[in-house]
Amino acid sequence: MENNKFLDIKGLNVSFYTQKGVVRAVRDLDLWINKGETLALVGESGCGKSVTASSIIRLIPSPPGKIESGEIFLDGQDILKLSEEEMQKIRGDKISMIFQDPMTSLNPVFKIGDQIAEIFITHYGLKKKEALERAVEMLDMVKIPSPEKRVKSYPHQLSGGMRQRVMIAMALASPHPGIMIADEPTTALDVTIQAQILDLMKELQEKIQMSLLLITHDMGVVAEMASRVAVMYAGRKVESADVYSIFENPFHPYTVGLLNSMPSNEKYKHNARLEAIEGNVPNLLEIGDGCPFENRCKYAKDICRNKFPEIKDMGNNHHVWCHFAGELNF
Amino acid sequence: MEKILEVKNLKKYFEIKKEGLKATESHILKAVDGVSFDVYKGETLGIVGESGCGKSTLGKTILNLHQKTEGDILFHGVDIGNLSPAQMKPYRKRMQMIFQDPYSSLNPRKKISYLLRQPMRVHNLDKEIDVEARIDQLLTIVGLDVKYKNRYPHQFSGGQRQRIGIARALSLNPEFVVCDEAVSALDVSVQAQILNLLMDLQKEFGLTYIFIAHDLAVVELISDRIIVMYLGRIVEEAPKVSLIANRLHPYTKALFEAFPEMNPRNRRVKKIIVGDVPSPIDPPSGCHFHPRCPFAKDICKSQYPDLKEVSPGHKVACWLYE
Repeated sequence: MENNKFLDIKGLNVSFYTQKGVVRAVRDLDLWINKGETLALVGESGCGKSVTASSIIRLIPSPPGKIESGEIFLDGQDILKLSEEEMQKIRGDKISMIFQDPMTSLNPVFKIGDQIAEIFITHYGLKKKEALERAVEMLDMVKIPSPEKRVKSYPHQLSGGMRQRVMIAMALASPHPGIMIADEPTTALDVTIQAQILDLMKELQEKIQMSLLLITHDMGVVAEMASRVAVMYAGRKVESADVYSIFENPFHPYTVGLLNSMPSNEKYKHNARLEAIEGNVPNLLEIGDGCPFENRCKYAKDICRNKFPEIKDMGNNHHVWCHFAGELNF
Repeated sequence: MEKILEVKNLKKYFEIKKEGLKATESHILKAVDGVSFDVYKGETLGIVGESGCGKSTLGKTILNLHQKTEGDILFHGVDIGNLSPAQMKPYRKRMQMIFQDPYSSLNPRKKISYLLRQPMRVHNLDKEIDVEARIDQLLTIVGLDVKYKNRYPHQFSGGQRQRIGIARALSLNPEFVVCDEAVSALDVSVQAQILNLLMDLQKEFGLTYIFIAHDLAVVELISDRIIVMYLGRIVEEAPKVSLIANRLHPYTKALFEAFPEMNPRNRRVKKIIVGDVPSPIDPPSGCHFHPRCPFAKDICKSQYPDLKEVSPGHKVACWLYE
């Protein structure tokens, strides 16, 4: 089990030093992903899910950002100890990343074929001509029609879904694709295109046994894709479990609230009014050492205000950070 | 039931000019292309579809924010599409809009009280009613603390700003509100609050909504009837219950099938439609959906099917049901 972890984050703390004060964007985060597994990191704006992703590829803008402490083991190697040069070699090789808006991640003035070919030139030392041939193969693999023609297209000539396919092709072009970090990969896409992209990601992942860290706010996408789920709120992980336990037996009041907030939840088939979580996400500058969900939680007691709970093991690798985990009736 | 709005064969075309090196090409984009439907008092009519289907243009055109190209927009029997701005003014008071982006729809340099006062001032209500009391009342209605009224928009979160946008839309006591992706920019937990608020307000003030969104679950939750659009046209229109029980158009089926379910044990047995939504500038001939449709026949390639009623209130535009 232990040596099966492809990515293993231990005690990660990331802060941003702003004019208004220190924002603790990620606090004491432990997270691991096994080989070939899909972990969904779920949460709303400002919960720290994207900062976690940027930490894994070491692209936290610094200043103002800083990784304060923690270890990130990738394939057994602590990447926080690597030099920038060594890290450069890992990016686009063992780790690759795709983003919500593929237009901003592709260079608008180069043909997509050249952009994919660059990977083969840099990481494999191929000549331009061979590299372009490989680029065509990659486009074919992500099911872009007439790839020989498409390599000559510029990003703006492709639809959003096609661009995301190109990004996936680039992520898979690396010599040792070990983990793909997908940060809201389908959020900007239409639902029929989203279905196509999710399907493609699943299929390719099975084919090359790659780990996938899927960052999303959409519980529907989680249900569709994940094997395990970690829920974050205001910088903290509050619950983690396999996908079935999260949906069928959630223990944290926030997870429950999140599931109840989804209009697609089965329970709203007849009664239309949603069971919403009241209040707003707190300002990260103002969160102390208590549970960050305390001000919106209807079960909160004094202890929640003062102390962030210890990990509670509910069995079966289901972990919850709530003082009253298992004692609440939702 | 009383009809408050009747839309007949409405068209909105845009002229798109592409300036090339040699010549300027001109294309016609048929954003809304011959759309007819009714809206009844007190109901919520949901309009769904993917990008480029014309749902937002439709919303703006029926409020006369876009000048229509052709067709009738009858609001209580009066064709508002041909009215001058001055003639339109009394109708503006009765029909309002809530926008998607709570950041760009509020003037960042004005206090909340100003933003809420402005519509009442424009419509000369400030002489008739106590505007300040009304502002307090509006803030309370949408669940904001009255003491916030002298703050600026940037001091609020996205959800709170959307509440301000709703308060502004309600300030004139409208009977008809078009919500254009009103909850799409919000986080899930906040989205739920705003949806509840919109449903509560509808009950309390007898509002009629057109609710435009791309999120199928949201539309299914809030609507009484649903219209599905594809490339400028209505492909299916039905009462919600009837649409859930029996999705008829192949596009409607594909769209709802593609929507991820909340149950990990029900992972999709895939029937994913292929291809992208074609460009609305040069849509496919015949039924616009035929290149992606698994059931396309010869006639689909040449002729656009009429929207036909197949069961009470349930209409579909598809040759399979002719």
